[in-house]
Amino acid sequence: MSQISLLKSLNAAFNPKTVAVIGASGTPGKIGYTIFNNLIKGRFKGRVYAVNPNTKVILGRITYPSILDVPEEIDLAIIVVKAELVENVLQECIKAGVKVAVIISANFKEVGGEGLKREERLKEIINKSKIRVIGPNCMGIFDNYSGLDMLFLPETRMEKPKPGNISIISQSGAVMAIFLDWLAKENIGVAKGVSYGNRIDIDEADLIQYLAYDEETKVILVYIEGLDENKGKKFIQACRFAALQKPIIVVKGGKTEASSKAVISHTGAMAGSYSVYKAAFKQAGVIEAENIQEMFDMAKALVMQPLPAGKNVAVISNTGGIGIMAVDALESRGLFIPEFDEETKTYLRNNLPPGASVRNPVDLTANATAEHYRLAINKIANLDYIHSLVVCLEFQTPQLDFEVLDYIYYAKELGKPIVTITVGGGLTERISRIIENNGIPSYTTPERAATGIYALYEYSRIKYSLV
Amino acid sequence: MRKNNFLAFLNKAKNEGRDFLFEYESKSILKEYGIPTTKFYLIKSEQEIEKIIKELNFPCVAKITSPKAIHKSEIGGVVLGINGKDELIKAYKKLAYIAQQNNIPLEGVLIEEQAEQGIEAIIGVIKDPIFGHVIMFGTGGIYTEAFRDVSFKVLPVNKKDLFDLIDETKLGLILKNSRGKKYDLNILVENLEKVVSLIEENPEIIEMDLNPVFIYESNIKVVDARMRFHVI
Repeated sequence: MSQISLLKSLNAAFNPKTVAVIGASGTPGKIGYTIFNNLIKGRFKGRVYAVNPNTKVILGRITYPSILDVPEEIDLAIIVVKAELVENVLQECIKAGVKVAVIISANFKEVGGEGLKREERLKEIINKSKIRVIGPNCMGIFDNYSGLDMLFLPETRMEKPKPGNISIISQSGAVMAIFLDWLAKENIGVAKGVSYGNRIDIDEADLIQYLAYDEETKVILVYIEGLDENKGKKFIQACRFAALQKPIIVVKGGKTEASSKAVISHTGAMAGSYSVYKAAFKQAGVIEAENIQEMFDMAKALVMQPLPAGKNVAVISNTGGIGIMAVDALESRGLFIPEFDEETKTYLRNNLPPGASVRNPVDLTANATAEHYRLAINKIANLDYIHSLVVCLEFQTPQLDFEVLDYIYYAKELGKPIVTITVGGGLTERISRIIENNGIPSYTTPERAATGIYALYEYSRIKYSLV
Repeated sequence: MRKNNFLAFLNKAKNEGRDFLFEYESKSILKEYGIPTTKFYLIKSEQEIEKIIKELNFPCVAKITSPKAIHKSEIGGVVLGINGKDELIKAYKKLAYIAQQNNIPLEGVLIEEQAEQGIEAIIGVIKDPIFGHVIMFGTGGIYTEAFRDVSFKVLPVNKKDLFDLIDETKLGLILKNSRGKKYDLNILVENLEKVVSLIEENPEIIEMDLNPVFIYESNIKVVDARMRFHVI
């Protein structure tokens, strides 16, 4: 399968002109109902057909007994029939010239026994034809630009994020859904989501390659539990290619899984599968996040901010404590907090409130006003040896007015990354949201902000090392 | 040529029902790839001591070589610090006796020069079912698994990957910051490259432990080696 035809097939999967839902249903609560209903009532602009031999009309639409009866060529078939019927349905799809199929149905390899055999037979059928397949046992595709949405969870239980530039591919459908819901709550935009399940045909490497070319995707998030045997090198290659264009953040589930290999060597005893994954991630040029919160904090920084030119960070705060904790967190992430030059220190001393600390971290004191922030940010963001800024804003002190928000956007104009830390309660949270709506990541703890800055620096390092 | 020699060892092992190579076989292969090892001789009888005695430097070490004893030290199959011919004869007798007591067939006794102590490293290889061959480097010796100061790289690798492999370990830090000594990491990397070529030419190997490897300022020496291969 050539590169171009893979990309064409995947384009048909995310951006189809015509879709058939095989196993569409008129019974609310059924997966075939939710998907069909979402497609005809949602933002999706393509033509949608229902296929189900047991009924003539679903949600007011003519329903066809088989894909072979649909009066038009179909780009994408979404298969939601019982596992036993999938083989037959897929063969009809091939006959009808369907370009790509997403098999939502479960009860294949993941259940073993008969399911495993079913999947093997399916694989043979796919290998002999030109059709490309995502799944089975997956939640399929969520595309915020084409409006294609296969997520079959009730809207009352899950929010959908606004269009944006983060894309996620996930071995687990639930992890993808949870993450999309979370991003929706945080008002951070998403381009695409794919749950690829048992990856009978299209695997994570194919999807990463596709997302590397996708214009809407600026950050790729990957949740994997494990790759298939002998697929490691393909994964590394796809990531190295994609990482040149955009950052990839990976969370690996199942790190502590005991190695079941019978080994006689020290090497074998220490090369648990996770240590090999860790090494492979490094070589692949991906940033590994420890958990989904880290992935979230990294993604936020990478999608909103430019890359820094180096590892030097300046910290500006109106509370000494938060500033110091930010420095601790940044340094433990391998970032550097340089001392300011004398001229800068003198300038700060002359312009900041009495008692302010003019070293790095800068402590503006609780008497700081928005104007003090403006002076400090303008001076420091222009220093050529400062590559990123962390601004801590504690609104508990009454002297600080909201004008300060306008001033923190200034560093952005200089092309330097800036993130904020706002620790506190309800008011703080609301302000934090306003800051993010203006394109500056806002974190609730110094450690989380350091994770964001680390991701920016780490990706700039990776990008440089891959060239 | 060196591939044929490897296959000869492989076939001999297979015929004897082994899925691993003896230390002397492993070291012979390492030598063919230009990886320095301690000097070694496999002797099959007490009489053969005569033949090697002139070349042998003392102190030396004697080890049981048997298809049934991969972990030699667990049965007392290693004698260290042998100084002189008489002690060597005594050691040979002792090892032959241990083999008999444990009811294990004796392929021979491996006599090795006792290398000058260097910094102890481990160089390992494992074939991972997903990523294929992976090279490992780190702190070696008997506490290898307790320290777990190791790093991995998936093959193929370039020179930079191998320097990174060293840099990612505490041992790398030690090698770069030893007071009064200057360890030439280029030499270590060249040897790691040789290990990589050995694996690339002989992908039948699924596990390899070179442990300990003594690192000196401008050389390295493999002190113990074992290899395991895939049986078809």
